[in-house]
Amino acid sequence: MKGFIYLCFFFVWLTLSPCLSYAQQVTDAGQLPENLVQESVLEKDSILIGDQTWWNMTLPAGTWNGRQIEIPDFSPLPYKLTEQVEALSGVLLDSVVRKRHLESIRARILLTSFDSGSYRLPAVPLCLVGQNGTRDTLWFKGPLLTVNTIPVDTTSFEPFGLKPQMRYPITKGEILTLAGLLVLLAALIFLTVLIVRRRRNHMPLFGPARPKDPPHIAALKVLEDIRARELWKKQKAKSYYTLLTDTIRIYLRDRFGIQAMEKTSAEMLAALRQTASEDSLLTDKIIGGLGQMFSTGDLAKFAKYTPSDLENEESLRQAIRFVTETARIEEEKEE
Amino acid sequence: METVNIKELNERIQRESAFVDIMTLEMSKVIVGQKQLVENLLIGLLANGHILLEGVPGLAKTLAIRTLASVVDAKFSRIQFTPDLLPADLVGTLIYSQRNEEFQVKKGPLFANFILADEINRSPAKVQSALLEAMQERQITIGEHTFPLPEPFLVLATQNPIEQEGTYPLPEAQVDRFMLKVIVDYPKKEEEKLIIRMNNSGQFPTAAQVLKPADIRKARQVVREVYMDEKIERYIVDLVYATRKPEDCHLPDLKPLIAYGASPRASISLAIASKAYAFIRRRGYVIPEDVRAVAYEVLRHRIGLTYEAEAENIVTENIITSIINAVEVP
Repeated sequence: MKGFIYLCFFFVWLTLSPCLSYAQQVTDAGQLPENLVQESVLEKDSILIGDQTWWNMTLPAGTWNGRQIEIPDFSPLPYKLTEQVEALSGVLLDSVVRKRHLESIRARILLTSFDSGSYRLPAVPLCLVGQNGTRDTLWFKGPLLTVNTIPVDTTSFEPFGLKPQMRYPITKGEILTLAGLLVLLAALIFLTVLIVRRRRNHMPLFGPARPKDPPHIAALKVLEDIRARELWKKQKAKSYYTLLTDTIRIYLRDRFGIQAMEKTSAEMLAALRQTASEDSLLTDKIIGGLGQMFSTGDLAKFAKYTPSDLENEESLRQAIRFVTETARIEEEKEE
Repeated sequence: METVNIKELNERIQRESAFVDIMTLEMSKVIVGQKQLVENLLIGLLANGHILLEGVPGLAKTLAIRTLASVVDAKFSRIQFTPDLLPADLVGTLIYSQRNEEFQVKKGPLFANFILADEINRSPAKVQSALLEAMQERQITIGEHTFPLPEPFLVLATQNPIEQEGTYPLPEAQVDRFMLKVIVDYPKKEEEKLIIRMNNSGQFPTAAQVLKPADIRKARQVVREVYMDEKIERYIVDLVYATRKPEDCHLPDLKPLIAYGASPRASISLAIASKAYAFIRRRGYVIPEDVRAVAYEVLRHRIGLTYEAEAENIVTENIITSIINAVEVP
């Protein structure tokens, strides 16, 4: 029986011990003498759940008379004033000066609550310590704080009046950085397109584009280059005829619109004969001469045939003759 | 470095290919028109490649093959493929001889120089496989004995593009073993008039035997020697590669239409068929025209079309035409 009583005492002590330590700083004002209790006010006596409000306490002038004010320790923050109300700051002291004269000292505590209901805040003590060590305690009576819950739509179980996330204003610096990046990106795209286009059109990367040579001028330039290099004399008949026939093919493509690069010699000649009915410059003789050049070219390219120097020179002559005799010079002059 | 005397080769080919004209002449006595078919039969014969013929009934497919066999002094077998045909009906089987008290080999109709596999798609896959294995290996195993097939050995299979009900279409892997797929078309009006006259008169000309199997073997050897330049090889590879990756050849539109491209066997077949074509044209070297002339027959059965292509009524010939028109000729 004796052991049971000790056990009961132990449990009572365990339950009340946090309350006792808390009661050293804040306590219910109802138990204090009237002359020691000061009034305090809440900035907002009604708040929404999670909202914050200041609890203001004022020490009128003359109350402390040069004594030191000792404030209660609310660490660690947030400090639970009651089960439902928390202090988000300690007691903050501030002087109120009017006409260069200290009128009062204000103490403030930032409060919040996450539980709806009406709560009587506990009394808060401020201790005034004199120079000779005397101590007077002033108690500030706790006001009533009402915490309202957020109204919930019962059909969707979502709170009413939800506000979207706060949008921060965009600063000038951010706008300038973004604009700079966009300009850089646009410049890069423009440059890439310019380079690709110029490359595709075989134009120089920088500087004005050179006017494109008419087909016969372009062909004659290459043929002149072939003549100057005299490839056939260097035992390079295959390369020589490849270059020669390719030049004529490009000329056929640009001059007559024949897709000669994808056609065989026979197909090219057939296409030319078909075009001859519309183009008086294409005579049987000139097509025949070209056919002879193609025929020698095929032999050199595909049959390891080594034409004589005479044949090589004749092939070049045939090619030049074909280009000069079928060139559309008058129309180009008009252009 | 390989040295080829083209002049000498040309002269040799002029000599060796003389039989081509005689053979074509003899065949044209029996077959009216169908020049393309006859030419492709010759290419297959010279290039040692089997041929798949496709065409509606009555276009002289069987007659053409029979005539080819009669022109050459060679053994000819015709096998009509039916759904109940068995592999042993083709390759042969072992028969027990009571007199000798042992199993004896009874060779099947595949032991011939020219085989006409008529309506190959009428038989199930196991029979097709038996034939196609013989085509590839050029030998047949019956029981414990393996027998080489006679040379020349040429299989000409026919299939009907219509009447698909109750048929067994050849799988892609097996179709690939045919070097050429020839589409036989209707004769021209004048040719058909001539066919009627021949049939009304009741006098059917016969082709004379002008060749021996040894001549074919010799001609095949010469065909292999036909010179093919590196430029032509590259052109062949470009064409075949374009069937696999058309987007690399500036043909991105073809990409969604092709399910699979031609295999390396297509490149090999295109090369040898081009050589055979050059031989028929009595040339000792291959030119791009030769490659283009055989490209359709070599590639048409080796390109797989997607459902999208089929929905748009696109056939492999359209794809090949686009590729030929896009790939640069050397």
